[in-house]
Amino acid sequence: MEIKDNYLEVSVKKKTDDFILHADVQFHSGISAIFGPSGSGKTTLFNCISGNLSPDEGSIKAFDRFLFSSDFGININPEKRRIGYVMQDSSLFPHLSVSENIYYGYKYLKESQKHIEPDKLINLFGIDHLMARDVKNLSGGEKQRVSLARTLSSSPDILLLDEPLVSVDSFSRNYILKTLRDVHKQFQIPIIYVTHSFSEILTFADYILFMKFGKTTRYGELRKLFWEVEGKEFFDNEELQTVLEVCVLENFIDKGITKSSVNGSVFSMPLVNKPKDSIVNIAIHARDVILANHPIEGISARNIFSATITDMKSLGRSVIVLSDINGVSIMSEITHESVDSLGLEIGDLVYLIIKTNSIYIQPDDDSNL
Amino acid sequence: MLHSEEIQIFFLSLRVAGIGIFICLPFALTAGWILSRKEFIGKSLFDTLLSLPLVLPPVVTGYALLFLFSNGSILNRWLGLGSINILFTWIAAALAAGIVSFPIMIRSIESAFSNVDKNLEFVSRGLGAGFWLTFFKITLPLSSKGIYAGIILAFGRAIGEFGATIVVAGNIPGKTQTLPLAIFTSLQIGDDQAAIRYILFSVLLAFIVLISHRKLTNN
Repeated sequence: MEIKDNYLEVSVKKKTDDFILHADVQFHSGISAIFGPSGSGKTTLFNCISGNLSPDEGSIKAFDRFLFSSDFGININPEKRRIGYVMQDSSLFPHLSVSENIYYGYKYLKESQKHIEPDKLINLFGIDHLMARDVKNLSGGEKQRVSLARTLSSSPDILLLDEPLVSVDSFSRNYILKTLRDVHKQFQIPIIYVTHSFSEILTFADYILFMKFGKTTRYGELRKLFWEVEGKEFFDNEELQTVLEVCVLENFIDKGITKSSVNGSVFSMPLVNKPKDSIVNIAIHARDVILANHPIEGISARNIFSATITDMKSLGRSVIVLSDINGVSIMSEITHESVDSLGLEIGDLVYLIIKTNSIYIQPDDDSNL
Repeated sequence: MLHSEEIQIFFLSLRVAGIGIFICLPFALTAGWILSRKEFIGKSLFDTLLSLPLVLPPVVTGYALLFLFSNGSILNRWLGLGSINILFTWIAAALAAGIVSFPIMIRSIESAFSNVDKNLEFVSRGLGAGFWLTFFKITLPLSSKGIYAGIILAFGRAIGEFGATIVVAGNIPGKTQTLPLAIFTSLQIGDDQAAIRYILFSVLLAFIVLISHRKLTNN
């Protein structure tokens, strides 16, 4: 089943204590990120969509069904909206076990509504070993994985995520993001995602919605709108990184390296000791990627790719350069001075240089989480 | 040794207080939920009215009940009681005990409900559980300790009820004579030994009530 475009149409006004939410947006299939400074109405928008708050006027339509309409006097109860909503704090039921939490929504579904089996989710999120545990004894990452599995077990039509990874450490975060992408692919659930994280938006979203002072200002493809983000608004000391899924080609145990590939480009990275063809997540920090405007020989770095600059954006003291290698986008962070002296411009052919040891391999099983 | 009469008074007191609380509990749960979850015009008036029995002389509460349940009263007719008169029966004593301890129950229940994270209720509804399911599966279990504590404290107050009871149920030995009324009667007729036994009963009960309340409200 393909997700219909404009599956969710929101056009509402809601006055709250501190501002007026004025949202007007039609979400496209895929993963949409919402970006805006805190207090811009992102959570209020989610509360209106999920039925936690009733808008003052307007309408909300999901898959051609009105969830709310002031004109027609429709206001569907939250339990009938089929909107999965995961909040910043996992909000697990403290008096129930992990397993009871996960099956909570599933129990109340009709047979015909059970599109997603909890067992599958428990597997995907790697939480089998937590099932009998008390929710109070879980780590931040574990809590959010349980919370996501619980929400998805109720087979929602749409998944709303309100900064779900804020209190999660970075390895767990990448694992959860990867799982969410899998879930999105496997179950074809559109996702709307609020985050302040640059990397998360870049690696996760297809579309981006900007909000400011309670208003939805722009919505569109991430690739086209990405650079409209004002960097300093959320670029608070975050380590920018490119996250890639690569396929293991060969392990060279004596040399301590593994060769892997993505879209035909071969990467040399630290030894992972995983069988050929297994999928590994790697992260490359933007400031570890060197740009050159002509090929360089006699250098210790093992990864040298020719690439095309697709975009450049000034972010404070740095310039973020997006370059394309065979359809794979890699971020590098360089100084304004470098840009000037190399005379870099969008469309230029450049060489990306990455040291083997600058490639971080992320555990994709839960043994380290 | 205990006389059968004393045992009878003891159990009558437990029954009167217990049934009184039992009758009032659904109303206290409703009122406590409204006070903890809803904002509306006249909320403080509503709150005040419900708390009235706490500060009114119990005799006045008793008089109000007497008026409400008298033969041919509107309430009597509305309840379809016809000529059945509950006044001067143990049921009237139970009602009096329940109503006088009602405000204590509401206070505890309101604060127990207020302590439940509203996000959890909302999450439950988002997961497909309707209002009532959410109430019984989430709100009630998470506030149960506070509710039990409120019930126990109200029970303690109900056991000690005197003023409203004597007005609405009289002081009929074997029928409506509860522990405090028995103490009163024994003192009146000068049977100090009986009075002291009843008083010891009362003190024992009060201890049990307060210790259980403390256990429930700690941690």
